[in-house]
Amino acid sequence: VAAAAAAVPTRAGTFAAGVRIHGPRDFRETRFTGGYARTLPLAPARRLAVALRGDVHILAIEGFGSTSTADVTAGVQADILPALRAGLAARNVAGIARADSADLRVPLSADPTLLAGLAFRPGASTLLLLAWEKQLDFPPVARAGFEFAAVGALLLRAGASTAASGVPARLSFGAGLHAGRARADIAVEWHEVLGASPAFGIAFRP
Amino acid sequence: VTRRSTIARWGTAAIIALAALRPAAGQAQIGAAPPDSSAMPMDEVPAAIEAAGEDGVGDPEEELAHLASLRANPIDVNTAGVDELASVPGIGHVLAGAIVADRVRAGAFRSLADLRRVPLITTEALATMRPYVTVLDIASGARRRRPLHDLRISVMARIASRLEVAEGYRGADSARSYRGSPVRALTRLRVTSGRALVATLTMEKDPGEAFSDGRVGYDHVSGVVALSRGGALRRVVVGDFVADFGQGLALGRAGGMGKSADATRSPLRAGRGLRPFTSGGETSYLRGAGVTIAPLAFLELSGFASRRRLDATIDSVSGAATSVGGDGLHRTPAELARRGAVRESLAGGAAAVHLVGGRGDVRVGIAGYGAVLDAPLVPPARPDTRFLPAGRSTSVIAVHGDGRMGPFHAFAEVARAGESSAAVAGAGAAPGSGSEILVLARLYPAGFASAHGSGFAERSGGAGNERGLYVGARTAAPGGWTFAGYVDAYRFPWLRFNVPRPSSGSEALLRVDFEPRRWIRLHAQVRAESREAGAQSAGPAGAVVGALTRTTRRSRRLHVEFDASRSLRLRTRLESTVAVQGDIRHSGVLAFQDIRLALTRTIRLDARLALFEADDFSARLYQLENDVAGAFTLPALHGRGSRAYAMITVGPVAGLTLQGRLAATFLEDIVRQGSGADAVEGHRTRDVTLQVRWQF
Repeated sequence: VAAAAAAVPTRAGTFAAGVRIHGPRDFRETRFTGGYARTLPLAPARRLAVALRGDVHILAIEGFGSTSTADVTAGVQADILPALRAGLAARNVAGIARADSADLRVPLSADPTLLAGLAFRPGASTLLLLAWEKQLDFPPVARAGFEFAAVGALLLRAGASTAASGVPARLSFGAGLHAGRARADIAVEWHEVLGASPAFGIAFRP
Repeated sequence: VTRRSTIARWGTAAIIALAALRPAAGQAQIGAAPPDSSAMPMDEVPAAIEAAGEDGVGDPEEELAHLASLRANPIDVNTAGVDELASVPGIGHVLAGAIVADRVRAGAFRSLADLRRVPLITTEALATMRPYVTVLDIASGARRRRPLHDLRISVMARIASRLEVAEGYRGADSARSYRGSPVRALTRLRVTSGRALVATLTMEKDPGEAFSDGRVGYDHVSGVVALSRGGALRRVVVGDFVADFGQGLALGRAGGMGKSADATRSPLRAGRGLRPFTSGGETSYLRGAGVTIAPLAFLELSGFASRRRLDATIDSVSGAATSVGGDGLHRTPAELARRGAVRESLAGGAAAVHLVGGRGDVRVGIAGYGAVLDAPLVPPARPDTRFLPAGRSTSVIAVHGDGRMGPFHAFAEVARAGESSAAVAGAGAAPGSGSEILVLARLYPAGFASAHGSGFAERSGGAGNERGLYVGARTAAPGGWTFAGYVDAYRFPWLRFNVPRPSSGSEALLRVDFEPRRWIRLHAQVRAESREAGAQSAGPAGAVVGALTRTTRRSRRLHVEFDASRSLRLRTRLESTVAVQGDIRHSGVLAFQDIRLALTRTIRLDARLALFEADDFSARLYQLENDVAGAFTLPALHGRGSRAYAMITVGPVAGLTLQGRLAATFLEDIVRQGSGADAVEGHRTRDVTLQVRWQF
């Protein structure tokens, strides 16, 4: 798996683009993403940001050929209180009218989805995240995350996500090192079926 | 100035969106209100109505019409009585009594802000009631003396139809086929002059009804003229009207009221007396004339007579009616045969003495009626119908009383019908700072029934075969928190339809509202209901006997509303349900995102997308949807799928409002929606509504 992304803030808003490649050559999923976000100065003291994201998914299986699909996600984010931010998003809304939910040619990520999330920062060193997601074809999933600035530039993270039965289906732990313009993050996720998978990433702000 | 007038104009348009009339007079008087007077958006449907719609109690459409008429013609707090004030959102019986008592003690209110001198009125209560009340100044007093000065006329036409053709329109089975088109058509003409004159004419055709079956034109026509004034002749109503007295055991008509998050107020009946019937409903009203006089300031006397045809099922052999009433639908030959099959002649009256002092008020009244049908009523011989009313004539009489003193109020009503007496009594207190409590007990024997009553009950259809105890409370905390809840335990002492033994149940709700800023409203709500339903059980020697099984339904909800600006509002809701019957457990979940966007000063968009998943009807989820002005939609969602709607409201010129709405439900995993004649092939249903309203 490999991924790369960049975001460019401009006066007219922030533009972003990325690519993500998953799987070996004989079964490869590739996703291209383009996004745009900006804040709306609608009313004083009420910060509201809107965003639009487009994804192109390409699935290639050696010997079978390849297929691709695209979907659009629209979202808004608002500061409810100084320490509380809420976000809402809807993905692939146009797909709700389709007849066959079991169409295997449609990637799972293109399933019509509603997402809602809350970010709560009770203090300078602590961040709590809650998210809720309902895909048309699947039971809802709730996620919770926690970030704590332990010492200096070191951040510690933990997260959990539910399955339909309500028991944690995924647990993850991670750490981040933020130094000036560069940051590095490591994480490991434990999944009920897939077991543990590690991840590593670096980011740089020019 | 431009910005301000844009807002004012848009505010007016929003009011038009629901109100039957443009509230020019009211607006002018409330003009001095601070900007936060719009705490409740103008065309929102109150939570009480949402809850009542889910429970199938009352007539939410009528309650909407009542609120719209209040907004169009706000109540004058200097002349209104306790009943009128109590029917205003945010007031309730305790505050209504306190306002009247304060008025007697300290004189008229000079402005709405002056209401703060009443000890129990909080800022929140004042904000809630603001759109519905006014203080008439001298200039408008002069206008009041010339009642036709503010004459307003509005004409409304609405058509709605499902785009998919249902089974009943295909003509395959002639006995169950619908005779008419799938279009619902509603036309309403309304003439008002302040609160002094209300005249309406409503013509309606439901989907499936024909324009020429039995009569030419609309299936349902209803009209009324009502005159109200302050003197000895209080009110005259000619046409279709309703009668509301006391707690409604004998004569009453619940609007949207039942059990709701408005826990300390919605069980109470306002007892508004004789009033014009302006809802689109086709049942539960009287047709004739009524008059209310006040020969002495503290004495009110009402008399009324009604003669109308009611839908009924007639036994072809005996000629007796086996059931009277229904849903007003006349689409199939069988439904048309029931239409107007019996005639009810009714006469009734009421008297009330109301004494108001500087510390409180007390009222004692009596109300009743006698009615005769032109065919005897003989319910089918089943155990559960044993105590249902039978025969040609009925009479019901009730004595009611209520009083308020300081933060306390109490009320009671005892009614007698045939051989049975029913009673309801309760008391409440509002110790201040937004806290209230209400306790209400009801004792309705199986033999009691009043066809024109609607006392507080778990069962829809009014008082009878029920006893229960209800406790509701609410309190507010600093920082924008409000806590409200109720607990209700009840028992049905006799059998009910499909419940072969006396049964019991209980219900509880807890709701926390949080409004940290004027533009952010959150609430979390938990509701649980447990009751016994009919079941079959193995008896001795292989017999099957009727038994009871406990069914439980719980729902949890998280709801957020965010006004991003004056032109953009966002709403999000997450809700889940669990329904348990015996060993079977079903669950459901619903999420919606909702947007309202004022594009320009004359164009507004409303849209919502909901995803839902409920593995059985018992775990269904409700969501109240914005609809064209004066209407509402409350679909019960189950299965797995999505529902979306979009509505556009355009006000191109003053007084004219055009609305169009398209709603669609997509259900996965199934190829047929609905049942019987309403069944639709496919996984999709779409409903379109168009409405035009012109007022001048």
